Parts: sequence; structure tokens; C-alpha cells
Amino acid sequence: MKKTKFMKFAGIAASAVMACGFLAGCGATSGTDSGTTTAGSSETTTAAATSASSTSASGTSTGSGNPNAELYYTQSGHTQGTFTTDPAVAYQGANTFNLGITETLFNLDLETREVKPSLATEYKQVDDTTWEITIRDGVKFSNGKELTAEACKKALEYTFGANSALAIANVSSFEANGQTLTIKTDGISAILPRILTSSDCIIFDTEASSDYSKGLIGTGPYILQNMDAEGNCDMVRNDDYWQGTPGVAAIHAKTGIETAQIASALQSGEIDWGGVADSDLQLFENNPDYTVETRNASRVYYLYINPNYTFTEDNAVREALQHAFDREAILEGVYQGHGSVTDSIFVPDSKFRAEQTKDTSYNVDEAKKILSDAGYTDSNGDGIVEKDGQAVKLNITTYKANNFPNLCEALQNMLKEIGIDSEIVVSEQIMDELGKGEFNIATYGYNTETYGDCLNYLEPVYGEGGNSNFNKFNVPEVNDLLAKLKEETDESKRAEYAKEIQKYIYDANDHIYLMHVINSTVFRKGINNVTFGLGGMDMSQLWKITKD
Amino acid sequence: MKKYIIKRLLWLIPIMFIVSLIAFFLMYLSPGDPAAIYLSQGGDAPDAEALAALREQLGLNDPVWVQYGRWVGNIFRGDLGTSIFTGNPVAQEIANYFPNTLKLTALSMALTLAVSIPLGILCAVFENKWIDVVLRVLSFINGSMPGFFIAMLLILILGVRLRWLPTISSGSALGIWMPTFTLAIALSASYVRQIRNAIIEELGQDYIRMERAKGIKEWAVLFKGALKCALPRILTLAGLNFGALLGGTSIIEIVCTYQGLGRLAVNSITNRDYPLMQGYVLVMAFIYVIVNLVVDILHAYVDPRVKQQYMKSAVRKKVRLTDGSNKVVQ
Amino acid sequence: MEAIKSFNEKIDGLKPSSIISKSAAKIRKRALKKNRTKLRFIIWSCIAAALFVFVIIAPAFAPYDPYAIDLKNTLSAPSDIHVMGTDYVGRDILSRILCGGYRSVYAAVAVVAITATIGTIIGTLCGYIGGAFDVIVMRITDAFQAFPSLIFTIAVAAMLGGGMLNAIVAMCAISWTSYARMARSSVMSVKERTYVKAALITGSSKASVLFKTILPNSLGSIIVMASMHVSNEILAFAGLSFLGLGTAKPFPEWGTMLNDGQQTLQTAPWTVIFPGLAIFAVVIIMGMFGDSVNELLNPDKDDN
Repeated sequence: MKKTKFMKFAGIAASAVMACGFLAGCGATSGTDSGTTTAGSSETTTAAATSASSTSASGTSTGSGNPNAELYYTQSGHTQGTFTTDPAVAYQGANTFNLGITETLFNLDLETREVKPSLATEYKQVDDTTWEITIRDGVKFSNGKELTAEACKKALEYTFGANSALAIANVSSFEANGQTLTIKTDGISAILPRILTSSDCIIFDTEASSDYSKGLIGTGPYILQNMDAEGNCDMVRNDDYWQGTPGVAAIHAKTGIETAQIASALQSGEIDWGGVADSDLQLFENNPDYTVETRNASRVYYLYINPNYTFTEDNAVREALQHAFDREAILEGVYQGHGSVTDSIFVPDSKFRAEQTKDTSYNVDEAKKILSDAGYTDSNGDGIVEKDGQAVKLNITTYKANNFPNLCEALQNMLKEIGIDSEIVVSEQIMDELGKGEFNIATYGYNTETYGDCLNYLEPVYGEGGNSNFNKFNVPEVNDLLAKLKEETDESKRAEYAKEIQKYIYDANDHIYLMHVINSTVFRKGINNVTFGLGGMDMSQLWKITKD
Repeated sequence: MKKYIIKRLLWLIPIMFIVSLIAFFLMYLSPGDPAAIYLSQGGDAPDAEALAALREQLGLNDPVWVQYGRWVGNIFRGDLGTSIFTGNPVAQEIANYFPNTLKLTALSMALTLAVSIPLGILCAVFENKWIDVVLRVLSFINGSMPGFFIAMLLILILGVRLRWLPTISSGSALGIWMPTFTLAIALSASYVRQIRNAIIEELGQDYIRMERAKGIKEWAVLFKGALKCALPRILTLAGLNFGALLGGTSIIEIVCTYQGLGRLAVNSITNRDYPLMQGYVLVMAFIYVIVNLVVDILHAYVDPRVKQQYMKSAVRKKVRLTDGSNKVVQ
Repeated sequence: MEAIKSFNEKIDGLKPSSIISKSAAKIRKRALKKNRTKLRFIIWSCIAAALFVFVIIAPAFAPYDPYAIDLKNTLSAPSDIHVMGTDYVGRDILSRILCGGYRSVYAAVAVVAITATIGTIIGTLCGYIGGAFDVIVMRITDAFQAFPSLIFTIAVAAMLGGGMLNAIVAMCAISWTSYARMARSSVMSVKERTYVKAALITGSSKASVLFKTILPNSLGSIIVMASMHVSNEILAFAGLSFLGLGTAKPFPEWGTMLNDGQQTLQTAPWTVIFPGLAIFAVVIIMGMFGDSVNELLNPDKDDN
């Protein structure tokens, strides 16, 4: 979900507004949406997950709350120009998942980052390339149809056939037999069960309609009643929901709302919760009418330094840049302290984390010294260093999300301190723009542990030809390790590989890590039974939420 | 009259031809490959093969004139193309959003007139008295504020503080009112002044003096005389503004998150959704031209006094009348 | 158009018969009003001129470097140190307003100047040459006028990419049409006047008639329109900036500051209020100036 959004907004025109709308989506992506798909790891290769969590119906009462209440919130994770429920479009499965319409075979426990059962009760790796999954008995689609392995097969065949985000799974075929779904892969696909927790892998009734973009029939706690072109959706309670009675009678969700507007909508009472801009949080903190929930996310904001373009071709410049940026000041000034500074990729409690190996401390004198040692001096006294008569001017490319344009202004100022001039380019189509390779510095945000694993970050960003490898990072050892990572099922070995990969990454001066994100969600008083995990709100537990 | 109408209708052909040329090339010359944009929607860099295939499918490899010809040819068959992003026919997308913008425009216009006509009369009757001065100053202040600024303030006051109206218009029953109030406030700035001037002008006419001399009551002079004669002019102004306003509500729609055509259009520019953008521009230009035509003709019918003169200067007059509407949209 | 009508009336008014027909009181009243109008015009043009000068020299009064970021003091409220507070990266808002004024003001003036010049040239040629040339160019003008102007501007600006220069080009692309129409009709009406015909008969070259007789006569209405447009264009520019298509960062410009500030409207209202007031003040000044020009040259109309 990370990158899609970027491109989206960037919307020049829509910029201010529309774009921000997405942001909202985005920011929240890291919240709710990455919540559902992010997080830890560590299940074994065989039948790990058994029905630990609340099993079928048995009338699990959802506690207090008014059963006739209706929930209102802004849909997040919507990363497209237009709203679609079609899971064939990458990352859009989240749209119905987050509304409680559809569910996945497995969920990720947001605390432990383990795979836990949902529509499926267990999985088993039969051999290197075969997985067997047991579908839960007694679950029905909201149209009354029984959930069978055959139905799952059809849904997944459709999605895996078209959704580019799922290519990483290397699935070759599905077979259904009663309640047993067998998945075969090309080569070893070590994290397949984790991938199945992704909201891209939602299960829906493929035969209920032919147009999947305008609503789906799922097994979830809420049934889609009404949806307009922009994704404003109205849902009603599914009284036959397999886990119990959902907490409220109806849910209304709005889509594509600008972050600044989410704050006003919370204040005016239109919505019950939402992720607001960092600067708006103070409106709700210490306010008895609201609760603010904050969670660390495994999302990292970092910079690409391009070794293949103008001044940054010189390693000395890249090395100087490592000391140029004051992370603390950025965190406080640009993000109002909502995050934690980092110089490494993964969050501190991640098992994949390897510490930065170099000294990357903020040190203007050191940066200046590196530059002058390499022959960059300010010969004409204009405050900008030159080499061979050419003043150093870097291109900083960014997009309108995550407060990045503001971040870039801060970066620009810090570069000036070490005598480097720069210009900021705000792109509407960031992936296209960065793909051209004509930048010195680029800002980016990425979820480092999608599905609770590191592969979905390391491969596209550092692998040769990876779709987010914008500075053409290419270290043969890293490529080999990534290939191993793809096949390794042993969790501790995966962590080893990941750490080894990071050493090579840190050895080069091609990336600078700035901070890890903290997601904040604001709730109005009276919203209860919300489940949180490391990434934020757990949308797979939406059905439990009640409202007074 | 008939001749005039036919002549005006015939002029539509070259105008629409030029409109279509501009619309097409404006988008054609824009940077960014629509096929690549479409394919990278999922977040992945498009692979070369798929890109080439899609370019072929969308006909992006054809010479520009072929592309233009195909586009125009399709339009005559009622096919405005297919939106790159939604995959729906452009005509359908526009048809989905148009009623919302039409509603917003009509409602704003009605509210504007409902507010400005009484205020305008008040100003005219008390010309240069304190009430006139105060209202004129207020309308001047109002007219000097960007529309989006008014929208932001209204959201803060009516939405956040008073909680009377939803701050997000989209998907809400009362949603239309926030942008309506914004537009009405922005529009009435110039309307109050125009109506005031129109009535003052009428009041200065000879026939009014005659009526007064006859001893007809002042209110009857005002309402039966001056207002009756000024009204066609006011309504013409409103009618012409209407056409411009239909295509000029974008920023307000965006700020209020209203699901209108203007917002759709801005989004389509952002998304580089060329077919949608072109379709929108074409349809709006067409509507604008038609609305102006209709208003001109109606005006000529309604106000025979100006019929003669107006037929000649209709086009010229339009320029000035619609100029004022530019302000509204910012 | 009224402007032209009244202009013609002014010319007609020079005929002795029309003066005689007016009562002495009326003439006095008119003269009085004319004096007041003149005075208003002088006052407002002085204020406008002062504004133009002020926005240029204003950066000299800026207490801080408008680009100096202070991440430790972001969004701080107005105080003795920062009279208008600081923005989202800790820059002094007062300094940015002082340094950004000339962008906002001169961008609008540039748009008006460019469109008025181009439009007048096109319109004058149309009116003067007439025939097929006139018909074709006027249809093109019709076509441009039929476009939803904001969308057209955004599309052009998006096509060219952000930045102040591109925004100016984008705004010019659509707003030249009203000048073209105005100039055309003005020329057409002047062309038929006896004194122009007389000039032609007496053997003056067409070009010299155009420049010496026709053009100066139609300039009045163009100037009225242009002066009244400046405030509109300032607002239009603010609208473009609001959509992120105005000046590139980090250059200070009022519309862009408003755009940045809207995110913090509630938590740091000063980021919106002060640039908003600046725009407002300038729009009012230019609006009053435009009105006074209009009144001066169109004495029969109050305002429009």
C-alpha cells in the first residue's frame, strides 16, 4: 500500500486538496491499513495456527453499546484515483476489508505479528511447493451461500491472476476439495501464509455479480448496501456473522477525505474516528470528548541518494550528506514529534533489525570537512561550495504525502548549512519521476514489515530491478541474499539474511533513514472495543466495535 | 428572430470545432504517458511489454491527426471515450456527476437572487444612505475574499463550531448546503451591487418620473415599475452567470468535498485521465455556449425594449456580464 | 458595452447642442461630481502607486530572513519576537509577507498587462481588418471563452508544470479574450465615426489612422477593464496557488502561504489570517483603484 498512494496524489491540481485527501488515506494507510497487513512474523512451517481466537458464532456478545447505533468513519487505504472494490487492482482489497464486508483466510496478530486463523482454521506446508489450507466450516457469505474451498479457490484465482502486488507469492495453481484448499507455488514461497493475511487476498463470492468494482459479497460482519462512485459506502449489520453479532446496526464510510478535513469532521461530529494530521492532534489531546490512540508503525521515512546522477556521483558528497540532516529537529519541527528518529531500517523491536554500521550523526563540521577534503570549497564567498568552478546544486524530488514537501524545505535548509544549494521538485507521478533517475535526493515512505515480514520491503527497494529501487542499488551479495530470503521458511534464518543484507546497504552511502512513523487515530467518546496492534487499528476486529 | 436563432445555431459549429481542437491538443501535449500512468496505478513500474500493448490498445501510437479524428468521430456517435482510471464511459461519468453540479449551481443561484434582490432594492431605495453604504462596503469586502477562504471560514463556523452542517459534503444529505452557502455569499457580493445599480438606473428613467407625477404610490412605482423593468436584466445576468458557474465551482467543490463535476475535472487533470478531461471540457463548453444562446434569445423575448439593440450587441454584452463570474470560482 | 456607449456619449457631449439642452444646475452638479471623481481617482492611484513601490522595497523592512527555517520554533504564535508568528517550518511570517508581496502583486499586473496588450492587438486587428480574418479570430475567441476558465487554467498550468511563470502563462492563455472582444467592438464603433472617415479621406495612411486615431480612442475602455481586472487576477492567482500551482517552494508568495496555512487553520490561525489579510488589503486597494478609473472614464455609471 505504500507506494501506490504516492503517485496518486501528488495531484498537482488537486494537490492541496485532493492530494491531501489521499494523504489522509495514506497516512491512515500506515495506520489502519498497514495495521492489517503489517507486522511481525514467526510461525513455523507447519500447522501453526489453530483456532485460538474467538471461534464461530456461539453468540460472542460484544459487550455494551447501543445495538442500534451507527458508525461513521473515513475509509482509508484508498490509494486510487477512483474507488474500486475490485481486488484485482493492487492494494484495493483493503477497501472492502476495512469496511467489514470481506475477510481473509488468515489474519495477522498485530501484537505478536503471528498468523492467526480467520476464514481458514489452519495451514500446512505439505512439501516445498505445496500448501494445504483448511477452510472453516459453517461460514456463509452474506447472500447465504456456504463458504467452501471451491469458493475460496475462485476468489483467489481471480485475484492472484491479476493483482500485481501478489506476484511476490509465486502461486502457480489452486485446487479445492471439500473444505481443503491446496495451493501450489513455483519454487519455494516461504511466506505464503503471511501473504494470505494481506487484504489483497480477500474472499468474496465470485458468482454473485460480474462487476467486482462496484461492491462484493463477502463473509464479513457488515453487508454493503450502497456505494457511490467515490466510495462513500453504507453497510448494515450481517446478523448471521460467523463470529457473533456485530456491534452496531450500520456503518457509513466516506472516502478520499483530506487530512485537514478529517479533523473538522471529527469536531463537527460527522465521523467517529479518523487519522488526523500531526499538527491537528493537539485539538484532540487532553480533550474529554475524544481519545487519541497512538501506535508505533514499522513504516520508515528515508532518502534515496542517487549515486548515478550529477554531484551525488561523488562518494564524498554522499558521505557528507550522511551527516547533514538533523533528525531530531525534523521530527520536532516537521512532524511535531509524532515518530521516532532512526538511522536504521527496521523498528527497534523488530527481529529483522540490524543497527546502522556507520556514524551517521548530525555533524555540520564533519560534513563540511568531508566536502572540503574532497575539494569542495566556497571560493566566491556566496555560501555555496564549488568544485572545478561548479557550484553544488542538488535536486530533491518528493511528492505530496507524509508532509514530505515540508520535510524537503527543512532538508534544503540543512543542506545550505553545509554549503550545498538545492532545488525541490514536487512530482505528481512520483514513481514515474524517480524511475527516470534524474534526482540527487528523493524522499520516500515505506512499510518495512508488510505481512509481518521484511521481504516485501527489501526486495523492491534494494533488489536489482526492484520497482522501488530508484537509485539503482545493485550489490550482488544482496541479490543473492534476497533470493535465499524468498525461499527460506525458517524465521530465525530469515532474520539473519535480513540483517546481513542491511550490512551491505549500510556500507554504501546510498540511503539515509530519518524516522519511524507513529500512527495516531482519534476516536470520539463512546466508541468501544477497538482493537489495536503494533501498526494501529486492527480492522479485522471491526465487528467488535460498539458505540454508545 | 428565427433568422437570428438559426444564425446563432450555425455559429456553434465552427466554435465547437475549435473547442474540440483546443481540448484535444491541450491534453495531447500534456506530459506523462497515460498508458504508463494507468499501468503504474498499482504501484508497480509498468513492464515494457504491457505498456506497448496498452499503448496500442488505446491507440496512442497512431499519428496525432488519426487520434483526433477518431476522437471526434466517436463523439458524433455519442461516445466520449473511456475513462482511463475508472474504466467507465466518460459520458457516463459526466452524467453521474453533472446532476450534482447542476443542483449546486441552481441552488446557489436561487439563493443568491433571493438574498441579493431584496438587498439590492434596499440599497437602491436608500441610495447613499447609511444602509446602502454599509451593504456596499460589506459586499465589497466579501468580493475581495477568495471563494475558498469563505469556504474555509464557513466550514469552521457552520461545521466545526455550530455543528449545523456537515464539513464533508460528499455522501451526506445536508452536504449540498455548505458549498451552496459559500457560492451564494461569494456571488451576492457582485449581485447586490449590480441589482442596486440596475434599479437606480430604472428609477432615473423618464417613465418613472411620469408615474410619480401621476401620483402613483412609491412602492408601486418601485415594484411595478422599476423592478419589473430591471428584472429581465438581472435574470439575464443570472442566466449568463449560470453557464459560467457550471464550469466554475471546482475549488469550492474541492474544499467542501462535494461530488461535483468540477472536482471530478480537477481530479482527472491530476490523474492525467485524458479522455475524461477532454470529455469534460467539451461538454462544459457546449453547455456554456447553449446556455448563453438560450439566455440571449429569452432575453430578447422577455424585454422587447432592448430587443433591437440587444440582438446586435448580445455577444458583446456577454463578455462583461460573465467577467464578474470569474471571481466566484477562486 | 456600456463603457463604449458612454465613451461615445462623451464625444457626443462635445457637440454644442447637447450642452445647451442641459440645465445649468445639472452642469454644476456634474462638474462637482466630476471633481469628486477626479479626486477619488487621484487618491486611489496614489495609494495603488504607493503599493507598487512598497511591495518592491518591503523586503528591506523584513526583520528576518524569509527563508530561514527554525525547526525549534515551528508554528509559534505571534509574539514580540515574531510579530505575526511563524509557519510550519519556523519561518517568520511577517518577513515572508513583506518579501512575497511583489510576486503576488506583479504576477497579477503581469497577467493583466500581457492579456490586455495581446487582447487589444488581436481585437483591434479584427475590428480594423474585418472580413474573414475577423470571423475566424472571433470564433477562436468564442471557443476560448466557452471553456470553463478555471479548469482551462489548471490544465494549462498542469501541462506546463508548477511555478510562477507557468501560472502566469496559464492565466494569460484564457483571459485575453475579453480584451480582444472589447477592443474589437470599440474599434468597430470608432471606425464608423465621421472624423475617422475624414482622416482616411484626407489621405492619411491606414496604419497612421489606426494608431493615431482609432487606437487611442478605444484605449479608454481597455484601461478601465484592465484596472478593474487586477484585483480579479490577484484572487485568481491565489486560487491557483491554493491548488498548488502557484509559486514554487520555498519562495514566499501570499497565495502559497494561504495554501500552506490551511492545514493549520485551526491550530495556528495566524498562518492563514495574515497572508489572507495581505491579499485582502491589496485586492481592496486595486478594486477601489479600478472603480475610480471606471468612474473617471465612465462618468455615467456608478460602478459595476
